[in-house]
Amino acid sequence: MREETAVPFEAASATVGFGAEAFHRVLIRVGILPILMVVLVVIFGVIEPRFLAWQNIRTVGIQSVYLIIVSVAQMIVLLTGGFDLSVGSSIALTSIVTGSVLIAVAPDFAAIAKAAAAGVAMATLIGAVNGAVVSIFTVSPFIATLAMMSIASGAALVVSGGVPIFNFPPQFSDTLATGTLMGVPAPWIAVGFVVLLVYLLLSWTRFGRYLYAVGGNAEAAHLSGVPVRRSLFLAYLLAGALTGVAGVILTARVGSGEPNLGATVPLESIAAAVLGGVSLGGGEGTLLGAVLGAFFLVFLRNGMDLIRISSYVQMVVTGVLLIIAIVADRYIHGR
Amino acid sequence: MSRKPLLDVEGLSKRFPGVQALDRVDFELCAGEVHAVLGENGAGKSTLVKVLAGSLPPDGGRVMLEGREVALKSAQHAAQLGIRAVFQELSLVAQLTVAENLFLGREITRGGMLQKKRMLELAAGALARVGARVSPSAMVGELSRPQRHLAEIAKATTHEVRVLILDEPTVALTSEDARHLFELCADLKRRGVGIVYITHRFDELYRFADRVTILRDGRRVGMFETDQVDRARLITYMTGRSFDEVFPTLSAPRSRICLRAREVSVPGRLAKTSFEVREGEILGVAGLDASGKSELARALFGVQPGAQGTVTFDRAEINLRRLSPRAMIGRGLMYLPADRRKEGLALCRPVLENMTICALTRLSRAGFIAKAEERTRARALIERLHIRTPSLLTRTAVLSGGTQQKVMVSKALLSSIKVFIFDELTQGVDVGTKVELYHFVRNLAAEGAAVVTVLSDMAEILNLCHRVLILCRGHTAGFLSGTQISEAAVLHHYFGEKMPATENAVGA
Repeated sequence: MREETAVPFEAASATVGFGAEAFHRVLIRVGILPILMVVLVVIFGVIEPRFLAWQNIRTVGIQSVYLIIVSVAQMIVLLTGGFDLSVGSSIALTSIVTGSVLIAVAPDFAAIAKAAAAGVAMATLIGAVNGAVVSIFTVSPFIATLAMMSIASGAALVVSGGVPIFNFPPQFSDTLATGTLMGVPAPWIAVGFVVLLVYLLLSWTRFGRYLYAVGGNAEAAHLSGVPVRRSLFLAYLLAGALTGVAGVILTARVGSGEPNLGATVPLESIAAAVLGGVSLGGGEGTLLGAVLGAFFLVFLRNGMDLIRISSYVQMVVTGVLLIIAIVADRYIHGR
Repeated sequence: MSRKPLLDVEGLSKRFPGVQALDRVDFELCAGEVHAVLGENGAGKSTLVKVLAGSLPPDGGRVMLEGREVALKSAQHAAQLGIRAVFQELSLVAQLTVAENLFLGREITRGGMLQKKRMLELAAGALARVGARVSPSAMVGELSRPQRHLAEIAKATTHEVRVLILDEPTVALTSEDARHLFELCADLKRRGVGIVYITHRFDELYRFADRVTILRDGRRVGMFETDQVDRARLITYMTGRSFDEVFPTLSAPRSRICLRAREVSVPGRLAKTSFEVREGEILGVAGLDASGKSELARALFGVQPGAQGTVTFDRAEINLRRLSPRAMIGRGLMYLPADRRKEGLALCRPVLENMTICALTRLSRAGFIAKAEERTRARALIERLHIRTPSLLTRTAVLSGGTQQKVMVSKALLSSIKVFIFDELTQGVDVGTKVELYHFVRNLAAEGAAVVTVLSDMAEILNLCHRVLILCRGHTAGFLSGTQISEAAVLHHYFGEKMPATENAVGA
């Protein structure tokens, strides 16, 4: 496995500007993300001192949890050479299912667990269907998950009647959004579990190795006895489940079941993963890269909020960044 | 043949990060000459031809064309000067017709309108000259690989050409097509075209080349008139070994039958074929293109669609329709494909992961990989096969072709494989690696494994097998064993005792 560099900031910044060849070498070594991160910190740090205050970084750390989890889910699918466009509407449907269960049962701690479990189960089911369509029927991931995006989005609107589900018991958000355990915010515990789980899966298990093998060369993997279909199916299933976790956390943060939640997430999660060095061609990418890519995007949005750049302009910036990330990916991987 | 130097290269150097790909190489090509360039993979052959074709700028040295120094700026620039190259990676646009490709970028127009009819006629002529039985209005995407290659050569020779560079042109061609190609080249020679010819095949070299330049480690180590130098000497120059060391002495096969294939067939490609392999035996499967030899090998591993028949192996009779690679590896049979880039390796992944991918089940406990053991095993393989890699974590893509081939072969060695099926084991591999692979195969057999190996190279058929199964148009033409294996006998069976002209009759 490629060792993901723990970002020699000075090295990256020192070498920028030494001409195209040096720049190329830096890109290949550390990827594009450390460079962008340095630019971000320098520019916003100078314009707005609050940007680098601990309180702000902590806030960004909590806000970025849902995107980190979805980007990790996206990365798992990207590693196999596919991608998942349905993560956004899966979050919406998770939110509606979680909300519906939450107001239907007695408002106690068990209800919170039931509602969260129902939401995650819903998203896992979506992942399973994606996985089945892609692996058994060999439909291209683009079409399969695009269709699922429409299905889940429609389902969320049908179930909710197009209106948000309000009147959550306050314990829900108090526990999952603002709650802490021994001083650690609940979302951090969730993201910690997700990252640990995915780290173990990718770096230490046969399943993780199979994901890289399938994305690296599906034909070679098949001839090497790798269960290609099962690996693909499980990748989408896992991505679905993780998206569900992100959906529950996001629902707790907004405090209502929202049929339009997560609309920008597909683009953002792909951008985050690719910025973090995950190859769109499959077979290459690291967990740390996806996590840092997602953190970077939220941190950037926070910075733009602080200096009052409108959300419309922010959308433009996200799109531009995705293109930059893809061009850098091509450049680095020589395609 | 005139001896006017057409292309004169002096002191050409090219450095890539970490490698001196070309080190002050001299090269000379006369008009009407075929000048072969020989060398192991990584010796600098492809760098040399890329520089000559204008697609790589050199760091030093000079290129003179007809006595005038030229600085080749790009492939287009070289083409304008009459230097044209046909590389192994083909450059035709699949979505256009053959004629459109042939005139791509230099369409014939009158008053801004395309002269389609004229271009079709010219393209038809060019295709006929290279012996491609292809309609100029056919889509390139619909052509077979040999047809595409011929179309590529037609493209290079449609326009004015003074220097033609051919990079292993016959690898993708049937012998019939190759014959056409040689005729075309003979014609070009008569017209004073100089041909730079990259090849691994000695028989072509002797049939075809006037002079040969040998490269090793980026340096020119020798230049000879082809008729003044024998094969053994060429191999010595390329590898630094003597010819006697190339093919090992085989040990005798054991008496126990390891695998029995009964009535294996593939509709339209392979008629019912039966054979058996003993422990310690190397069975060659030979035949021309479309003989069904590769299909036979793939059928035994469950990766040939439509295959029927049974194999008796590992105390079980297995129906070929219900095979999967995973199950067969579990039973101890492994197939290694001909195209390592397409089917053999995940090039973007590290060497380690490619080596151990087949054996992960036995290298893991409860789904978790025993990483220390995995590395120990991989290191042992690197020793055993002399795999030249900087580390276990090196991306496989950066290794040389021969090293990649060894990494692919090593995949089979961590599982207890009793039957090895190789498909063109030494294709696109340098001589040094070939020699190592021959010894490797010989040792596998000596240790008791059964080896079935699909072969095209005559020297390998003659020297590497205990027995050869020869297929002709999908039918078993015969078995040869021991001293019966001679070039004449093999060729006799290749053509099924008929004239060579009918060799491509099977609708593949």
